[in-house]
Amino acid sequence: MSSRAVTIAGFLLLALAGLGLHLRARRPGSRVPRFGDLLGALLETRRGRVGVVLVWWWLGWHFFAR
Amino acid sequence: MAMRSRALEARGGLAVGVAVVYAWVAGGFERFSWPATASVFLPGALAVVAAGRRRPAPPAVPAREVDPRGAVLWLALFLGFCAWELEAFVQQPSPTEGSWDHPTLSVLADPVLASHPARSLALLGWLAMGWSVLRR
Repeated sequence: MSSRAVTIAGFLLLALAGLGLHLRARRPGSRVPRFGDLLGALLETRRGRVGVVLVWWWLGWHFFAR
Repeated sequence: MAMRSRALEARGGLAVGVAVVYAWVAGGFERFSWPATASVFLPGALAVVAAGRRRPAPPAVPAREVDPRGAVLWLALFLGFCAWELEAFVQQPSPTEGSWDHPTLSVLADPVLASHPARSLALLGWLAMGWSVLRR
């Protein structure tokens, strides 16, 4: 397996793990919070809001400016 | 009341129009150029200042309790993604030159974002994402 395939497989695995967490969070009585609830809780504090905006900023930087 | 709602609607329409024009112009800049960097830096810096200044409003619908033990799983996923991306990034020949063997997500997205319309559309989505975060 080439390095490229391993790197891409890693991203796919992470995406699958995210999907798995999302589905697990939807189950009734799950301890795992839904992503939207987690985001809502983060945005309730100033520090959390700034942190979320910084992640969003980095995404833009990474994909459009670099 | 109706006048206020119309004014809000007009402001919203104007904001969408400005965002569309901004995304179209910024999407046309060459990558790694100063205009491209500035076009991402400016809205990002404004958003960070706005996020730091504005006192979070109490949510209209009370937020659901978040169990920290469950939230740790999301944090682990986020850190795992950061580590994998960083691992690919440090193996690039230079910060501005992607690696075929160790592509970052942005390198993988390059063919999709190569055209002006696609990049502008993605930029518009990015701006909308930031706007929705600030509005919450």
